[in-house]
Amino acid sequence: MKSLRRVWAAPGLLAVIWVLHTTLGHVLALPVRAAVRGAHAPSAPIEEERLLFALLESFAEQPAILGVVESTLLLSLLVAVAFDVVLAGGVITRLHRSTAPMKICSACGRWFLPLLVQTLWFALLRAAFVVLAILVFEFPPLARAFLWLVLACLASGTWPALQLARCRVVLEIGGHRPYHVTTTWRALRDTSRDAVYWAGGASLALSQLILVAALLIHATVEILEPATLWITRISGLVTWALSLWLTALAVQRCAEESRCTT
Amino acid sequence: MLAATLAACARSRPDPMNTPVAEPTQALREPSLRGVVPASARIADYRIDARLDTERKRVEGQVRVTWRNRTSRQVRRLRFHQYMNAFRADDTLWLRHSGDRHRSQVRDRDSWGYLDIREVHLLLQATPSGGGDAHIHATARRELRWSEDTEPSTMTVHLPQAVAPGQSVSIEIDFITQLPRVFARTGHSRGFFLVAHWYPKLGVLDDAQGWRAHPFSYYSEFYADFGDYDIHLDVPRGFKVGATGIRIEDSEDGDRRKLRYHAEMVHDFAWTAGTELDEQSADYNGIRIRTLFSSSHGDAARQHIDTQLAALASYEARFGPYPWSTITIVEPPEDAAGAQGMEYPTFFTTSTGRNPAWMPDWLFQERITGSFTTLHEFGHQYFQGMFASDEDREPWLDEGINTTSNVLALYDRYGADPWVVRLFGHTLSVDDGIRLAMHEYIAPRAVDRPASEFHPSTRAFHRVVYRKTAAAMLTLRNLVGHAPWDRALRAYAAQARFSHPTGSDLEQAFGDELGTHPLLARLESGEGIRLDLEHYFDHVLRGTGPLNFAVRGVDNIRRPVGAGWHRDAAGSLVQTERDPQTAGDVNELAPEHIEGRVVVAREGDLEVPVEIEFEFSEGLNEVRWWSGPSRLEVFTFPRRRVVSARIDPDRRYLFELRRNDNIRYAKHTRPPATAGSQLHKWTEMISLLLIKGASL
Repeated sequence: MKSLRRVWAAPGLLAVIWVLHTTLGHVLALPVRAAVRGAHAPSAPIEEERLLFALLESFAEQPAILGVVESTLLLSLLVAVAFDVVLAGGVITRLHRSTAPMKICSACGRWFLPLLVQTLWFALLRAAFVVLAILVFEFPPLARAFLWLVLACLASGTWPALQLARCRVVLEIGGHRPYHVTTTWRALRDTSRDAVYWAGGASLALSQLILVAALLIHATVEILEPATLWITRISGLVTWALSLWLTALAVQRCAEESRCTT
Repeated sequence: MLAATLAACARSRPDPMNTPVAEPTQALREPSLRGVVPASARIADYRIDARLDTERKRVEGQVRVTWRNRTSRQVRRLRFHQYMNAFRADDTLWLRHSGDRHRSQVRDRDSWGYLDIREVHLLLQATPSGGGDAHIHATARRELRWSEDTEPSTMTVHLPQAVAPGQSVSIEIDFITQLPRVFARTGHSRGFFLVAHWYPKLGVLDDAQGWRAHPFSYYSEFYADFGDYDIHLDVPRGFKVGATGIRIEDSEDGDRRKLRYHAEMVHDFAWTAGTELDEQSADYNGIRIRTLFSSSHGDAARQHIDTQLAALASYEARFGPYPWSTITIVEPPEDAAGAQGMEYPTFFTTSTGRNPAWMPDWLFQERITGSFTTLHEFGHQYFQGMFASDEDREPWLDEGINTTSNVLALYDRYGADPWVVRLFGHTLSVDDGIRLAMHEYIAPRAVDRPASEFHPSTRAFHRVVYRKTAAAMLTLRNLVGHAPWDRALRAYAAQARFSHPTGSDLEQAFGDELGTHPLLARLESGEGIRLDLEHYFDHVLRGTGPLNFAVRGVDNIRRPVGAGWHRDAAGSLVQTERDPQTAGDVNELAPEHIEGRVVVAREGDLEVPVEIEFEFSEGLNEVRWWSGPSRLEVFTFPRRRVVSARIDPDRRYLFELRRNDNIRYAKHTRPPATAGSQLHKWTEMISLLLIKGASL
């Protein structure tokens, strides 16, 4: 609960991230609006909720629109990684009870490259898990289910471990080398030795994943409902709160490590 | 104890799908169920002895053909198809057109298929006597001269003496059929054999035009006469076999299995043999339905049978009785997918559904593969199998009308305009699926053209022959009314049974039922809105032009109230002041000071009436018909503010280039959701979620 208190203590941080995120989503979708405005067909109202037909006919008329949508979604993925890594240094600094805006902002820039490298090490590890999960397809159904469960449990440790590695880099604890894979390895090792931390971090990450997946389905199923966009935007507050809590969990652990070592 | 009781209960309830249905004993259904099967249509009988060599992937056979000359011509030669020669060399018409590809399958370039004729003999030439027995003119077995055409998928057998009208001739041909590795329709793959287009088959002698035996091109399929088939198959022991007709003998001899099949009043024979096939069966009112499928596709087999049962109910009600006692559905394995989706009499191949079993229904469902293939190929049992139109000369008459009939069968099974794709709860209906195809003309070509004129590179065949035909026919149904249209097609079907109908017969049937100018609606004034049926068929079948309606503008302007300068009786200009009530912003004025204007346009030369629905600010709607040669029309509505205009509000036209421009809202009126606005909203939401999801 100490970690949750760190989040509560920084409501401005949550608000700023949410506003940035919402604005980024809006800006990224602007090319689609422009492409749609330039084309005649998509400006016709959807008849009797025949959304699929209206979209498919629009794409047949103006294939470029589909290209713009694809580019936007691809760009969103790239921006997501940059957004996450850029903010991480500042977020960790703020959750470590530093309130000086300049210090928080400078942490964003100062730790960008080391955190990017650490993120890539973890991305490689997650890719290995994905490859293993694909290989497991060849097994009989029961063995396949069991192996997937084992892989999912192991992979769940990467979320708290990534946050731990980032915090150790930003808070410069224990002489961890910012770019080196040993920092990644130690974070993984320490997470695996701390079941409570692993379970807590994995639960928070899983909660976010479930919430995002549910929102994605809701956004697609209920697209014609006028409130859907605002539901998605406002739900961002909850997902970012969970995200901050996960980071705060790692910050709290680092703070305790730091006390032990001093 | 409880487990034993439950197990006993489970055993005591037979699963109707898993209870084998006995092999029918007669090739045709009993006379009260089979409908009209005219004996006069029986022209070419075949007896074939065939041995499957699974090592060399070939069939060694002998066919005895008895052909009756029912024309008024003297016949000195017989024209045969040798379909398998389409796969003999890379310079055949078929392979040249295909570019070694067929429906996303790629040909194994070292695998060839051919039909090697070894010997041709005359067996007898006879004249039916008054009692019906044959009087034999020539009995001596005599070798005949034969010649393959430059395009090797056809050949000619030369007779020593002419076959006179009413006479028959029997010849015997020894042949070897080398099967290719399956990539299109026929061949072998890992212990699975789909043996089709495999024996020399007679063309059709037309009284007026002579022999019709067409080179096998990429899109041409069958044209042949009806007859009885007596087929003796010799396959390795352990192979499961399915074939046209019914099995009347089945025995084992050492390591071989001997089977005999019998089919009546069919125009082709195809069969399959495999070691990894399972089967299920069901009965429909005297018709044994049998499915053969890969062992892991049991669930799909049930879907095929369910679809088949529903299709039989629909087709029998609409197009008359199915005459045969059996129908065999084969789902070729994935590695023989090139053989999927093809029809032969009382036997067809279907495709594997693309809806993965693990996919939850709320996420994705589709009815365009798997069971739809079953429906489509079964439809061919009528639209070609029983009617036997010339698929090379008029492919639209079977593929296009069959696609139309498939849509009707979907209506019958699921209700009007059912969905064919459901994605996250959003549906695409069957009519809309056809509408979308109207967009995709790469090479506009008339519907009523021979199959050989469609090149696969243009990808126009399916869009034009299948979907444009269906769009045109279903549009006509929506315009003239379902009941009279259904009666017309039923009348055509009754006439077409076993009779090689033509497109003219179909048009004639519609003309007879609907009249030359069917009434679409009667206005309050008493004026009738009529369709010129001949003009319609000419345009949709023989024309290439598109049809599109569009609302070009919806506007509300200030109605003239006489303000301004006018000359009075004395000739002087006198100013009339504007009524202050009419002076404000036009969007704020009361309707009595407004004139609504709507501009509509028609693209293309097809002059057809269409309804337009106008929505007014008072919440009232009005529907008007627009017809005539004008391509642009302005509708004015004094004292009414128009909110929107919608062309074809009941969505009668499937034969239209695009639908999105059929509706438009007035300026300064906020329309409901548009495709564009929803797409923008969706992209923003997904971007937001991707940013959050990817940051984990």
